[in-house]
Amino acid sequence: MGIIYKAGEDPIIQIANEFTVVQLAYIRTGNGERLVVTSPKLGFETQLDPLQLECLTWQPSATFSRLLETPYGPGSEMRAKPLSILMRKE
Amino acid sequence: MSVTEEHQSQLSDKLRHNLEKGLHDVQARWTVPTAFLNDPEVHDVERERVFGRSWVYLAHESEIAKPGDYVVRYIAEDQFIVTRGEDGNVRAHLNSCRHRGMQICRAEMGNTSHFRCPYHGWTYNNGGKLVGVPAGKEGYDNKLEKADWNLRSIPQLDTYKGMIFGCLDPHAESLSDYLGDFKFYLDIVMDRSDAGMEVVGAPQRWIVDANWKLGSDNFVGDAYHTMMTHRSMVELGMAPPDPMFALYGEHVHTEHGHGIGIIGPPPGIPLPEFMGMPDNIIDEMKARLKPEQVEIFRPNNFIHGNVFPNLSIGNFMISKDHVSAPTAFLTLRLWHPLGPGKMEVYSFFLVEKDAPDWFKEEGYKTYLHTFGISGAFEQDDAENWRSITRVLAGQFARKGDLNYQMGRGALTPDPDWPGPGVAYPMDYAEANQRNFLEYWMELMLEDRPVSDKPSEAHRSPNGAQGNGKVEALAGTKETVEA
Amino acid sequence: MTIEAQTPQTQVVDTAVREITEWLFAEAALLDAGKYREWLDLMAQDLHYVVPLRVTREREAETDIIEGMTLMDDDWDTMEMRVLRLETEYAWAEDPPSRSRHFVTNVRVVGGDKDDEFKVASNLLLYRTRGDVPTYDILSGERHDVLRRVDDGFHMVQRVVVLDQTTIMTHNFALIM
Repeated sequence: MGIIYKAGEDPIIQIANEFTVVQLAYIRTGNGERLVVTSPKLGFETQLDPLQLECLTWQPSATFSRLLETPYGPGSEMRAKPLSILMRKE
Repeated sequence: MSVTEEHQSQLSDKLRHNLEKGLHDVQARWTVPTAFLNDPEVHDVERERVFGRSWVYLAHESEIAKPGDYVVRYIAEDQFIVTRGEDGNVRAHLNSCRHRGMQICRAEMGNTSHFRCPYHGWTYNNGGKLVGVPAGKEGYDNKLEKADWNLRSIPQLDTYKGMIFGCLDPHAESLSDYLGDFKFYLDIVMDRSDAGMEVVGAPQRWIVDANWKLGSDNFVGDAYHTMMTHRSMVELGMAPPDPMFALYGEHVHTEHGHGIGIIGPPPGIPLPEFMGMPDNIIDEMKARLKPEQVEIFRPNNFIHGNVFPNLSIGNFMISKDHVSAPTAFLTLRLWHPLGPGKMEVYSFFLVEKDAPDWFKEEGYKTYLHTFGISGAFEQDDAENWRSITRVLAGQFARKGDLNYQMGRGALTPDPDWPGPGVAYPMDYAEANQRNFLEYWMELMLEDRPVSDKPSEAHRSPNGAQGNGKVEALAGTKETVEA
Repeated sequence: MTIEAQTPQTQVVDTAVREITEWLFAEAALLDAGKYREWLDLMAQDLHYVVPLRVTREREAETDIIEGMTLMDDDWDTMEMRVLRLETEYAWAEDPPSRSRHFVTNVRVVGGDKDDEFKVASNLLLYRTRGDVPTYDILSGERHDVLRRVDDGFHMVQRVVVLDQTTIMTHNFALIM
């Protein structure tokens, strides 16, 4: 929780509660800047630009509830591969 | 009988006999059987019939001031997440995932917009709505009826002057009716400031091997014990220099077992008006309270009381040590039952949000050095209550009577008291304790079916005069947008 | 109130460590013997004695110690009040007295903020029984003391006792940790 300082690097903001933790970092891109949002627990990362961040400011809470329909990330990541198919390949 | 409806467990012949005898005795003889203070059956029954039917204090609104804030609190064994939704409404959800029953919150406080169960990841918004399940497509073909599996809400929830209460009985009367005339006295303590009260930090919590009713019995009306139990405080000059200082007060009770004692300084011992509260709070209080409430508060320095069943109030002007002047402070305490002879004490310190810093600081110190786990007053109470509980475990000990006859033949109700309820003009009385135990025995004896279905007369979410909106969803199908 | 992690590299390794350890043992013996007045004589006038209030929080939380509320927050005057109280005939909480034993281990010493002060961390196990109750209370915690060297030994300037419990398993703090 709070701001993490590492020598020679931009500070990282860490936001946590008892359910998860995310880290926010500022980066400069070719001609501009973005916010890097990292989920260390799940291994996802996204880079949001000012317009993407701005549109978050008017989202109702229900938007985030919809995004959390797959609480551990996109469903395709978790698609089961039947063991029988894997065995056939071998 | 449907699966959602059941009849409460029956009393044994022995307990029914003791309760009927007790009800007779407390009314006719002003005695109470010893049988209720350390008995496993009493504990089992009172969980359902007392804690299952009464409005039980959960938290103060200031503990969940911002959207997403939550604390975990109990009614008997049931654990609730008491949280403020993104919409600002206060709710209490059973802290148990609908999938396999897992505790959703394992930290006792925090802030979140959504709860994600650590077992399988079922995720609910802080309004209690199930919004996501992992592998919803693979495991449930996207056909899980999420709306049927929201977190279970407490059957009733409401607030009064910042205090959040919950009730497991969907048919129970409203909080406002339950508190009834006692609201007049709660206002004097809880409604002095425009900004309201706040809990400072978090409650102290500790275990006392004592029956919870001893805490309530003490705070509801026992001014008498101060003379002996707290004599050390008189000797050190932290309480007024008269061992019988707590006699000089009014002893008042209302329906539903609530009671309060309001004590002034002993004759010839001046103490400041309004407990020496800061000027701005006194000004606000005079504008907020009724004139008769102001006049009750003006000359008094010690207020003790109990909201049935287990929420006690202490508003005392005492000294934090033997070299300091007295300062007023307010504590709320919950006597949370853990067993027939075991309770957990939750001790809260509250102060007016808009009080000056010196008052907050002195109040904190005075509270800490007199009440709470290390408090010089409270230490001796805990010692006594655990001793009583231990000795009353015996089979012979449980067949005796306790004397509640103080004031019998000597004390008559005060015709001039300006407040509601039954008032006696001296706090050395035991009418409040009898009123508490009589109501407790009536509840214990009352056979009635229980149901977790919503009441026909579903309560208005804002029924009481609470500061915040509250919501108690009796059904699980209702859509919750938080 | 300061709580600092101590690493082996920063420890004071001289006779002071031995002296301080012996002082802690002697201090514990006074408490277990109920010699509170003598114990108070070991406290500095600017004593600050704190038992923080802990809650259960997630690992990522900055701290599990609550701001603004404690279990104990004493200075010399309030400690004297506790001792004076025990000397009255009405301190029921400790009369009859508990039987207690302070087990003090893992003593770590570093230099303090002032030349004549030391920061001393130690582990505490406090055992307590009362009456003929066939059970006992145990408090476990880490103490962070500041000791000041005086002519005849040390005076305690600060003690912070971080207990390893949120719901405290003893019915009162009539004992000093």
